[in-house]
Amino acid sequence: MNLRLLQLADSAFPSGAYAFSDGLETLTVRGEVKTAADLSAFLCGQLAHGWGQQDAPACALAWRAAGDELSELDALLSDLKLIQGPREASLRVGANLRRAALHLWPDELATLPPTRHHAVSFGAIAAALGATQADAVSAYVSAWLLGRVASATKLMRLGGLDAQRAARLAEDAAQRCIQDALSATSDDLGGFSPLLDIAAQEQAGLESRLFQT
Amino acid sequence: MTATQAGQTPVSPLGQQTRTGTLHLTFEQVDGRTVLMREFQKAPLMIVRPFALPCGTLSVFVVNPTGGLLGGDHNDIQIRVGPGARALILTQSATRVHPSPTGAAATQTVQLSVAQGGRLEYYPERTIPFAGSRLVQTLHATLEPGAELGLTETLASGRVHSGERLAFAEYRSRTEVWQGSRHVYLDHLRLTPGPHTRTPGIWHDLDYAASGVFVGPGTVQDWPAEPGQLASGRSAGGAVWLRAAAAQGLRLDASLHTARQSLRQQLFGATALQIRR
Repeated sequence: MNLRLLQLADSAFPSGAYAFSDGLETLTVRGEVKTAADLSAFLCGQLAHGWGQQDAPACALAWRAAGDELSELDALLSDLKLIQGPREASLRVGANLRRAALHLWPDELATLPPTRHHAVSFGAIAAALGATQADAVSAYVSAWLLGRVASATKLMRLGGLDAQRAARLAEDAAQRCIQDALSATSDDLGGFSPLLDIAAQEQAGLESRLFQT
Repeated sequence: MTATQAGQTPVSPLGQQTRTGTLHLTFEQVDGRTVLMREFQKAPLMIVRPFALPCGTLSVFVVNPTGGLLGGDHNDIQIRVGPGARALILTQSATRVHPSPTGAAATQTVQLSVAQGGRLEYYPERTIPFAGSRLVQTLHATLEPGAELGLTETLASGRVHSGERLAFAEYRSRTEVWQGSRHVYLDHLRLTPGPHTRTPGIWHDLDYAASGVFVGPGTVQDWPAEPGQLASGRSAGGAVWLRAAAAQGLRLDASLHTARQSLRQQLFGATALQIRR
C-alpha cells in the first residue's frame, strides 16, 4: 500500500472532515440511530444506496480523469448533491484536502488540475501520488466509514470498540461499494436515501449540535 | 428490449408484444386563455378532454387504459407550453409497472419545454413497481427565462396493501431541468432493493417516497418541512427541491399537496389548485 495514500486518508489529515456528519447527527438526535446495530445498518445503507453510490464512484472516476473531465465531475456532483449542507461540506473538505496535500507534496502535485469536491480531489491527488485506482477507492471508502463511526462515538452512547465493530460489520457492504465504484460511469452516479436527505436538511435547525452538517 | 421509436410495435425475443405509447401535447395562450393547440396520442397513452380550472390553468388527465407498463413497453411523452400558457398534467391513476419474462425494463421518456411566461405543472400519481419489474425513466425539462415549472414524482415500495414490498428489480428515474444553457436541477434516483434498503437514512420502515422540483421567479420564505417526513431547499443551480417519505400513501399525498400549494403560492404567486376528479 502506498504510504502517501495512507497519510492522505488518515483521520488526522487536516481536511476538516471530522466537523461533518452529513445528517447522522439528526438521525441520532431523533433516536433512529441509537445502538451499535442501528449504526451498522446506517453505514451499510449508505454504502449500498446513498454516499457509496455517488461519492465512491466519483472518486474512482476522478482517479483516471483528465483536467476537463475533473471539472465536469465536480459540476455533476454539485448538481447531484441537492442538500446544501452536505454539498458545501464536500466542497470545504475538498479544498482543505487539496491545500494540505499541495503543501506536503508540492513537486508530485505541481501539475494537479483544479478540483473542488472531496471525492474528486481525493481521487485526483491519490492518482498523482502513485496509488492504484483500487487502493485509492478502498482508502476513500475506509476513511468515510471510520470517520462516520468516530462521529458516532460523540453522538451516541457508544464505546470505541463497539464503534469499530459497527464498521467491521459493514465490511461486506464496503467491499461491494468499492467493486461497483471501480466499474461505474458518470451516468451511474445517483442513489436513493430520502430519509438521510431530509435529516441532512434538518441538521441546521437542531437546537444544539456538535457537527456542522 | 429497451426504448423503441414511436409508431413501432416491437416484439420481445420471446414473441411477447410490447407497446410504445406516445403523447405529444402543445399548449398555447389564445385570447388570454390556455388552449390545447396540438395533440398526438397513441395508445396506450391517452388524455381525457382538457378542462379549465377556476384559476385559468388548463388541466389534462393522462389515462392508460391497460393494466400499466409492462417490461419492454415504452412511453414517449412530450409537452410544450407556449408563452403565457398554463398547463397542469395529472394522471388518472397510479402507474403500475409489471415485470417482463425477458427481464426487460419498462422505459419512459418525458420531455417538457416551457416558453417565457408559461407555466407547466406535472404531478403524476404514484408509481407502483410490481415484483420483478424494472423501470427506467428520464425527464428532461427546458425552460426559457421567466418560465415556471412544478414537478413531483412518488414511488411506492410495491403493492403495499397486498403485502408486496421491495420486490421489484430496479427503479431508475433521472430528472434534469435546464434554464437556457444553465443546469438548474439534476436528480438521479436509483434503487435496486437489497438487504440494506430498510435501514435508517434510506427507507427504514416506510413504504412511500416523493421528490420534486419547482422553478419560478418568487422567493421562498416559508420552506415546506415536516420533521422526519418532508424537507425542501435550493439546489446548486437555484431550483427548489422537495423530498418526502411516509409509511402511508395517503399521508404522503397530503404532505405533498400542502408543500406544493405553498411553493406554488410563493414561487408562482398562484392560488390553490382546485382539481375535480
